[in-house]
Amino acid sequence: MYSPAVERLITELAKLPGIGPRTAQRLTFHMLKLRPDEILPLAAAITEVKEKIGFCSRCFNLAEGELCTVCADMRRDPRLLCVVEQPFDIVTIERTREFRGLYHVLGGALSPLDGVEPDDLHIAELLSRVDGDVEEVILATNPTMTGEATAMYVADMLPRRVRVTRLASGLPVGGDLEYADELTLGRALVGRRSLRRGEE
Amino acid sequence: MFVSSLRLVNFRSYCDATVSFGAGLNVVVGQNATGKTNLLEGAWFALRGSSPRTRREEKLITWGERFTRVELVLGGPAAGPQAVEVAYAPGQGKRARWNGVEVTSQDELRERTQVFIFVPESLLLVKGSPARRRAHLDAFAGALDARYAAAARELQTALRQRNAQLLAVRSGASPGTLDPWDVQFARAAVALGQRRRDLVAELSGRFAAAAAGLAPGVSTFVLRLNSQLAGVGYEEAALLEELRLRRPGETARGLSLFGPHRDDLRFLEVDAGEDAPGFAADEATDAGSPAFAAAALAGPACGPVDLPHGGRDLRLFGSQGEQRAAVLALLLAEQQLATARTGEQGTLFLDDVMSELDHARRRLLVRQLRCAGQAIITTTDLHYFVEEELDQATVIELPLAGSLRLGGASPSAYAAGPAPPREDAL
Repeated sequence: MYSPAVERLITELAKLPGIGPRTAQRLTFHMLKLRPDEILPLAAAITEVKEKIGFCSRCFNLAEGELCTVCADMRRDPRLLCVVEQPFDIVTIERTREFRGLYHVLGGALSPLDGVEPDDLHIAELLSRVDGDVEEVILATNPTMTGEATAMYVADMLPRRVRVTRLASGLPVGGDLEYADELTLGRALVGRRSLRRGEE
Repeated sequence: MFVSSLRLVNFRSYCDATVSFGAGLNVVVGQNATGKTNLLEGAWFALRGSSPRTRREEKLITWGERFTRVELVLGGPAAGPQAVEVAYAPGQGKRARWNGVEVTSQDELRERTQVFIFVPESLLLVKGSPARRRAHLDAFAGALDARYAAAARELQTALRQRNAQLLAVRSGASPGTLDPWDVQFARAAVALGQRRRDLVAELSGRFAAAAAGLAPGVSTFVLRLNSQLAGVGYEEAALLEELRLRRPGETARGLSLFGPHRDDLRFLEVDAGEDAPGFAADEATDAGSPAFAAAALAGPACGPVDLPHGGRDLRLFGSQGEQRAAVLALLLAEQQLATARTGEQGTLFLDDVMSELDHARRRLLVRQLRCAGQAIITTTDLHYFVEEELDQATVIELPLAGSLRLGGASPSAYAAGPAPPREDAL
């Protein structure tokens, strides 16, 4: 229907997450309308990011160079390791300013339906990182079924001597109970904690 | 809440027809092929967004038309009148609106009303596959309780993931990769299994009472959940142990063979006095399946195989009349339970249930229906009702103006029907 070049752009755009064939078509026609100096910076930005940005050789976070900014920061606490599914999760956790340890990105979660097996994740690399220094591993995979299964699998693989923790799940801070959905509220009830000191 | 009016546009045999209902008993009377079943199906389509009779929704559209639309108004003392509208056109999909606001999922529609339907296809609840009975139970309970619906969805996800991992292990992945999926599956299985067990326990007493008035003969009907989970006491730890024992077999098959996805609801008939109705839920393990019986003897985690004591399974041995009575009793039980839980009485749609009942049982059914909120019941013959019942009922005679008889319609009669507005139709 279209010339091969147009067809190719539509196909490439449609491969991106959240973009279907119709949106890909719209974006393509929008780009065709733009002057070269309006659209070529996009192409250059894509090229640049792919040339300069790779994965941190230690934690698989995004990195400009050998190590990512977190791993390169000598002030971070190497005794704490936070395991996440995607590099984007690091940004979210960093925003809390609560965590001063290091990260490890698995690159996804176990999902047999999608063919994601333990070997497809950076689990072996995690195990080799958990050496003398690391005292606690925080499993911060998503609270979904795949995330839970991944956390469980990793927890079983980790040596007994390190402390293994999981992020708590419960109510959002600053929210009203009446707006909480039943599932979140149910989990918050199960995971309730004593207000008295010294009790778990 | 009750259905106060229904408009069917291009729905089955209806070109454009509107009908009003009363809050109590409604009797829709008409000869064969006047659209009695279609009327109930249309109301169900508006309240559930699907047909109880067919999955091929293009069949719902009047022959030769391009879309169908059903509008329904609910009246009731609590909230003001509620208007719901469902439209469907092949290629454009389905659209549902509640008071003008778009409803995005059928689950959302389901949670808003309690409705129960008996159409000829409903007999498949007894005669058909266990999957159909599980789906029916889950849809009923899911509409009552969002946590039940979530548990049912979780189980499906966990089951599919675990089956995929079983296949992966069969083709060479390390057996240890199954561990996390065993845990996820066990958690989901127990969460759903316990809810289902409690649901059937709550239904079974009501079922037996409703069936007592409908069942032919002197026998008693019993509703029973057969679940493999009973063998592990509905406990996560015991189920995990069972899964561990079964792992070689399940890996060889690449399938999860133990869990609530193999539950079945049994409709049993016992001789009066043999089994007191009401405590019937889940005391038997899945003795019907020889594979399970063998496994149960082999595996210590399972209790002894409990053969159903003298119960006749209506699925295999019930007459047409008995099967019909069992389905009706289940619907009545569900309606009562929904009323107890929500305070809303809901609506029963019953298609031609009178013809196979004798005089005494018809009276008993009508009496049950009178305490049950709104009921819309179709019949070919008003003589199935006594004078006094009809005095208190709303009688609707078919054919309605605007209904169009399939087959018998001449082209001129077809053209003369009121033309539906085309532009704003969907």
